[in-house]
Amino acid sequence: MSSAKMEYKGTDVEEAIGNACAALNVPREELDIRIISTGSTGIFGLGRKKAAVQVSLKKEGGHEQKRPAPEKKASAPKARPERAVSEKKPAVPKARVEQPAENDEQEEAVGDPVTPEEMEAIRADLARILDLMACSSEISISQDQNNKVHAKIAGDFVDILVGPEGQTLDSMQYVMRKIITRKFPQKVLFSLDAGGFRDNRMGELQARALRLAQEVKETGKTRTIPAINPAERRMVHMALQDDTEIRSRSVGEGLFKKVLIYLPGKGRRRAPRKKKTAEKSPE
Amino acid sequence: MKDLVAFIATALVDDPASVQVTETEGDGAVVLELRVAKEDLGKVIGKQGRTARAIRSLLSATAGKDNRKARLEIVE
Repeated sequence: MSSAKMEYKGTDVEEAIGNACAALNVPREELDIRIISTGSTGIFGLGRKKAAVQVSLKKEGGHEQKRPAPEKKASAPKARPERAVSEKKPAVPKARVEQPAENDEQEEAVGDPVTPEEMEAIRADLARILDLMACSSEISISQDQNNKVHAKIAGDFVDILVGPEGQTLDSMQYVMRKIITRKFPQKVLFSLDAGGFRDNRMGELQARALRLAQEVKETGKTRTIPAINPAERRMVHMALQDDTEIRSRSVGEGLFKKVLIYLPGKGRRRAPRKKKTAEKSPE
Repeated sequence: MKDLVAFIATALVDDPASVQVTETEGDGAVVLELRVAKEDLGKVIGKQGRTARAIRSLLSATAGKDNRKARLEIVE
């Protein structure tokens, strides 16, 4: 039925679709549009990605026009409902919600219920890993009201198991999540902690975020927190979101990104190079 | 350490029977070679090598206890 699929690119989805329409010389109502990537403006001209859409001609006569550009769905594929709603208000995405799906990861997410036997299986797997690491430790495991499973490690090996910047702990949590996902059909939320590390770390990060925010306000210069993982970034953004004088955003590629804290109105978007040095942005 | 790698790999792959780990002692470093079924390679490596990195990180924590180094090689 529908003809060959073709890909078009543009700086954003809108433009990509426009390009597609222009190239095929048809109105967009006659196209089946699938968004491949929503693109990103990147930072410092780096990591700029083009938006891409795949289109094919709708069957003649079929002519249902009720398909608007499925845009908001694509820009936050896994967003929870409330996110989808808030998504529509700024046409220009605010820097702080540049990566909504990610920064808001785990936002009050609710998992499926986990039976006591399954909890025990999770505990046993974790215990096994710790044993094999020659770090046998006490594990307490519990579930919160969102059905999230929390495992806590205590004992002499906490320092080793947390590792530098929590790296070992995060790795273990990641491996455990993988194992759990494979083992159980339902959606299980899992978090791993050792010796109160998570709370300490969050407190530390918040304090640091607020301190840097203060510096930004005093000096007007952009400050950064070096590469941190998604959950921690989210923490920083949340710590700063109520402060209307400054903005925060994540930049970089991949899992670990930097967090920039800056005064709004300076070197936004297209004038990135100047951000650090210019006192007034040449508007 | 061999068992650690084997345990994690077995839990992640579709074909646990094909998981093989060999441990050899190099100079100052333990070299672990992990073999899995071809179809499962991606599972032990993960998106952008994330799973492999996590396993390596656990290994180096373990090895670090005895001031040793560990290297994980995933062999096709």
